[in-house]
Amino acid sequence: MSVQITINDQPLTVEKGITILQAARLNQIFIPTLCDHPSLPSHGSCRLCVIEIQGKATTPTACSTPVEDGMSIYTHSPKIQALRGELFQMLLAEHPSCCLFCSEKNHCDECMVTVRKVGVTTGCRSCPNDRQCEIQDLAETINLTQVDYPIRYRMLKAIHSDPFIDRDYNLCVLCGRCVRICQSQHFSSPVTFLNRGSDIVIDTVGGRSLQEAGCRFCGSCVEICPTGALSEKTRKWLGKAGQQTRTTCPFCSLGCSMEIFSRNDQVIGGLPFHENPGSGHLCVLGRFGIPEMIHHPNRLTSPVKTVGKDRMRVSWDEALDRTVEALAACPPGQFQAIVSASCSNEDLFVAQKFTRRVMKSNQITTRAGETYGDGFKAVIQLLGGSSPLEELAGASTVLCLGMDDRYSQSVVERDVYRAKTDGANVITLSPRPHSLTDFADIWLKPDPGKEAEVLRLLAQYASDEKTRLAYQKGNGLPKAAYAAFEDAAHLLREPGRPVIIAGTSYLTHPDNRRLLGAVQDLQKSIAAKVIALPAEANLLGSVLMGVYPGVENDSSPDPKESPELDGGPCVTYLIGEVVTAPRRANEVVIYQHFISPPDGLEPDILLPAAAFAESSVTTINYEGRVQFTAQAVPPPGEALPTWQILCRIAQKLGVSGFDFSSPEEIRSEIRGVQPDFAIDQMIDRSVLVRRAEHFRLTQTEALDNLLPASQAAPPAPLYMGFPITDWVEGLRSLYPGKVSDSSNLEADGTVQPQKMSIPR
Amino acid sequence: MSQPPHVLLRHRDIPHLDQMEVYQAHGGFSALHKAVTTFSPEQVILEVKNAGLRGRGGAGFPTGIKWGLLSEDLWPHYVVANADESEPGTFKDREILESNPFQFLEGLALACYAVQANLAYIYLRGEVWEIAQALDRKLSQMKDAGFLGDRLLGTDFSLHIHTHLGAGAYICGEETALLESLEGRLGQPRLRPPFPASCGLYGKPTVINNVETLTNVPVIVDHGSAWYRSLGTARSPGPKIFCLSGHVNRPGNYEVPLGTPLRKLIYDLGGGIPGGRKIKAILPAGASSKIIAVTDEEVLDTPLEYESLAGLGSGLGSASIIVVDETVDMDWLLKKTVQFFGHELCGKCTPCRVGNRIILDILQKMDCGEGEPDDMHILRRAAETMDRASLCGLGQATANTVLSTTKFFLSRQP
Amino acid sequence: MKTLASSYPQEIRNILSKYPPGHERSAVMPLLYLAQRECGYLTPQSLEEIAGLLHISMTDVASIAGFYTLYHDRPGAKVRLQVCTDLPCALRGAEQFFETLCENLAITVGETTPDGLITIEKVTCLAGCHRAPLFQVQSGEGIRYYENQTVESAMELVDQLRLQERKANP
Repeated sequence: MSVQITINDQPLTVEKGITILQAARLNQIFIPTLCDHPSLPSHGSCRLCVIEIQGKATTPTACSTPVEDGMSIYTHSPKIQALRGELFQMLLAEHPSCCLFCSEKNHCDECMVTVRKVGVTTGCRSCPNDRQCEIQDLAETINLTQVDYPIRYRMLKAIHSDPFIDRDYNLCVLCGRCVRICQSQHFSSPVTFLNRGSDIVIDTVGGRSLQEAGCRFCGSCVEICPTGALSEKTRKWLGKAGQQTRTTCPFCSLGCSMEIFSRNDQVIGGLPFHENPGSGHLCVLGRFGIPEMIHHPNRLTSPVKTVGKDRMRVSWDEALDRTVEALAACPPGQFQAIVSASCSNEDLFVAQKFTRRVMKSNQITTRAGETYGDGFKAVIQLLGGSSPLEELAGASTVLCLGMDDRYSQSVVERDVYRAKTDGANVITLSPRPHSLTDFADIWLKPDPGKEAEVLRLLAQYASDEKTRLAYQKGNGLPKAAYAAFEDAAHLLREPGRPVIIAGTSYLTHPDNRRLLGAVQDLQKSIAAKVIALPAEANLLGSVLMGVYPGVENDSSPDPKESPELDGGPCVTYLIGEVVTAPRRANEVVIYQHFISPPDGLEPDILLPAAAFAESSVTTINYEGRVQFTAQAVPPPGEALPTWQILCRIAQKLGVSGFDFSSPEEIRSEIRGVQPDFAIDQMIDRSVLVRRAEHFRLTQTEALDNLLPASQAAPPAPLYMGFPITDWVEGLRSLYPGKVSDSSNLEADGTVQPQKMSIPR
Repeated sequence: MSQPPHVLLRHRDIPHLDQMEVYQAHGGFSALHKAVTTFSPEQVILEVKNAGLRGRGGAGFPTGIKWGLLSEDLWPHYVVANADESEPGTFKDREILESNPFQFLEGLALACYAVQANLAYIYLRGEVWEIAQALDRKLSQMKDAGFLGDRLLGTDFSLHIHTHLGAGAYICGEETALLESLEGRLGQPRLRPPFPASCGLYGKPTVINNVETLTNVPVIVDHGSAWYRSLGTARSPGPKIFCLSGHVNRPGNYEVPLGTPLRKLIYDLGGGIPGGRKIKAILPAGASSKIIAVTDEEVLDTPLEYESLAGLGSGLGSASIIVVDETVDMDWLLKKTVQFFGHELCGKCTPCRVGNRIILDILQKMDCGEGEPDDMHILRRAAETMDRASLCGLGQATANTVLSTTKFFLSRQP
Repeated sequence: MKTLASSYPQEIRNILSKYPPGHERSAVMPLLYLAQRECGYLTPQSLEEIAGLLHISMTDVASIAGFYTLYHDRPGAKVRLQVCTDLPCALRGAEQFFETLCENLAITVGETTPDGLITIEKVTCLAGCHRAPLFQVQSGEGIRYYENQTVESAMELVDQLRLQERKANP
């Protein structure tokens, strides 16, 4: 139903029941706001959106007043402008404002000389939010020349002790957006309003650090803060971004949509991409981890050869010659390639084509085989029929398995929490306390190692209508958990929309084959949707591109079993991966990666590859969707995209079919074999399930290696063979534990033997 | 002088009225019985509407109309009794709760019946701890006697009432802040609309009434709206308790009809100013008042009712009359009042939170002898902004006092 | 320190039963009073426990505790003597009463007597303006009013409290 109103004498037809602010925005009429945000319900605390309504003496706020038929609204009458000016002055009486009123502000850049190498003019404009500040924007529209009210500066100590986020509450305007956005997404906001009255502040309770207060470091608060009160440590002084590139986060199979912010070929930050405001979300890895990785001092920027104990930079020509020499001398079938399951589709496709057509071998694999052990086939089968995260939106019951990392993939926790506030029951199954145990309705605690048994029991009881679980020693459930078990079974039995989430640590569990079998049983018995979340960014892509021995791939001309490596490989080609297994005497190791190898890996030839955001490629996410990863900056130094390096080698070896000049040409060829391969499209996952039949499975580790129930911290996530904590300093406090040693390659080509010191 | 029998402070005529047997012996619960067994809920609302009862918490909104606004489409309904009496100069609800509790509880039960609420809460300020405990005992007694619980008095109507203690926050006397507090959140006012009548406690239609307001309801149901209208004035019918405090010889609660002249309350009942000193000003609505400067005798003839005081540029509010004599330094009075609001404001909205601090800063500056010519002007500007743009009445109350006091009194005038 | 659940199981059940199912959060205020019973202030452990009982976060509980004057997150004396000095009471001598009382106790506002028994605090209107000067005494057990006070009667009460304390803890 619609109503007729006028805003500033402009007649409008708007929907009944919306607020005046919404009506104005829908019609491109500007009303200043501060505490309001499209992702949040109206708050009404800043009062800047006051308006006049004809016939009424009061001046209500536009964000809280619904439209009524016949209303005549004035947003910028003299009375309102005066009132708004007063309100803005009050705000500025408690927020530093010298940059707003200085008579030199237009010439500031020209006059101000700074000795610090930063991207912003410093001096009195010392706020990291300069040129990106909503207060500055408001000052443009509210035409203030001075603040008449007595000024108060809170004299609070700025907080620099948290990873990733700096907090200076002297700049806080108490709009509450940070608290509100956090409360809308997470069970516990680490910060809140403290005290009452004029001394009210926002901070953690009891001076706790953000981490102690349960922060997930998703960075939504920093994004939504209108002032410089919250800022990103690594990005603070780099100024406003020059470019924004829409892309896909590289760190796991979720493939969250994001934007890379760059300036002068430097990546300075990442933010979630919002199709609808508030719909985007990133975990700490994609949100804060990218710049430090891309610009890490250990980046390989030129080809390197190893001679004895020394490493020396060489030209591409020399490096390629050496590579070709080693490969040409390699007997057929004595070549192996180990690629990362996080590499792009284009890189993987060319790598397997290279292996099969150039090296006449089928020995190409990722480390997923080792990771998933004898459960690898089961993992792919599960992924073949799994559902997207959107299924959580209407779920009646959510059973969470193995979601014990509170930092990586925190987007999932947010969706589970939202499902709960919408009425879903949340059950979590884990022997250890973890992020979901704060708010799950039921926490099922099986004996460690008995998760599969308990899941099987659940499957049985969820379909069986048996209401009493008779105590049976050894069924994996301590007696204290029986009541919870029955409640869980009862919930799962109820008609509705049950969803099961198989998290990363369940998929990689040493007992995963039985666990996933139990998940399939449960799925069938209660007709649940399953969401599976592998860690690798392009696991499905790796299967589709055929980077596994024995996997039929129609693009290779002679798909056949290669002979077993007799006596071990002659050449090991590592692409985006790290293997520190002992080498044979004559084995040549070629290492193609964006970053120097760790200690313990001594390759003969190092080829510098482009990293994430340095070429435009694709990956396939957990639900089988082909996603585009755009180039935001050029590769550093002489680094080249992996597919391009392989093409050059193939050309030098005189093999045809490797004259791709762009990733799009590679995609064309892939489409020739997989017709449904297209950006933003879903692939036919049944192909993957068929392929998985041919996997050669490796034996799983013994169950003795299970983490003890008391251990709270999951290990740091890996990316292309390295724990991400190697590159991103802030992650080390979130994932305490061993950091792998990375050797430091100096610019002049010599090896710097010292390890990087890791400040705590 | 003879005083007609009390209607609200009946314990002053009948000793031990806080005991159930005594209350029942003097007609107690007959209204509840009559309503629940013979009236429909709509009839109760109509009777209260016709009686013209207005809210006694300070807003003066017609009670019957308020009850009638509850949405019929959303259930359950709730009633909340606002016993958070915290306005300086107000102590009438306390006396009712201590000495005539059953009349209040009966009124609350009648309100619940009228709006068909089966669950009600009494939100009491935390300081009246002992009163709350006594109320719990009285509720128990009512339950034992069948006036509360499932299927009251043999009908289908069930009612449970619980007490809930606040913890020292004046702002929780504001309706929506009270609801937030009762729901277990910070006592910060909500945005309105929606109003409690459609979205109140736990998001459901809710009536919030003051203690004194509810205490009127049994007599309306018992004696009828016509009788009720014979008390008070045409525009403000019914009895009213006035709280008299400050510079008077006999401070206390006085139940007199609305329309009683100010002079009678202060000089006859209140015994006049100690030491025979001259009266300087009156704050008729506690600290939230638009102060009345007693510049001439005529002011003292003003009838105490909502409209007349509005005519003086002031307001009756909760009828908490604070008397100030000639010895009082008005700068000091202003600072005290602003400090009170500074302690109690919730901090949510900018004009109130910052405005209060600004006003105190300026007053402090003036105190230290560092006042500048523009200060009073800036102080009044801050108060005006608070008046026009605050989220709730607390900011406006501060503005009331500041603007009226600076208009009439301050030594440093512009 | 014993948990609330083990010390007051029945009381907790009674409190929770006052509110409709699904709205347990309403119980946070009465539970905070319960938690204050032992030591007159709220320990971090009690805040965590209340959060767990109500399935809300500890941050929320702490924020609520910090908002209200009668909840204390810092240890004080066994007994808090809270005097109203708001306008109506001040007009009847409450400020002088407070100053003199402080002198007699040899402490100022917010401080605790050397024997650790009494903290003196200023509070806002207690709805006792007609019986000023007045104060309330808050301890773990609850709150009690003392109205129509003089400095003498107040000091008598202090002496009584001290005597009681000596008897209870010799």
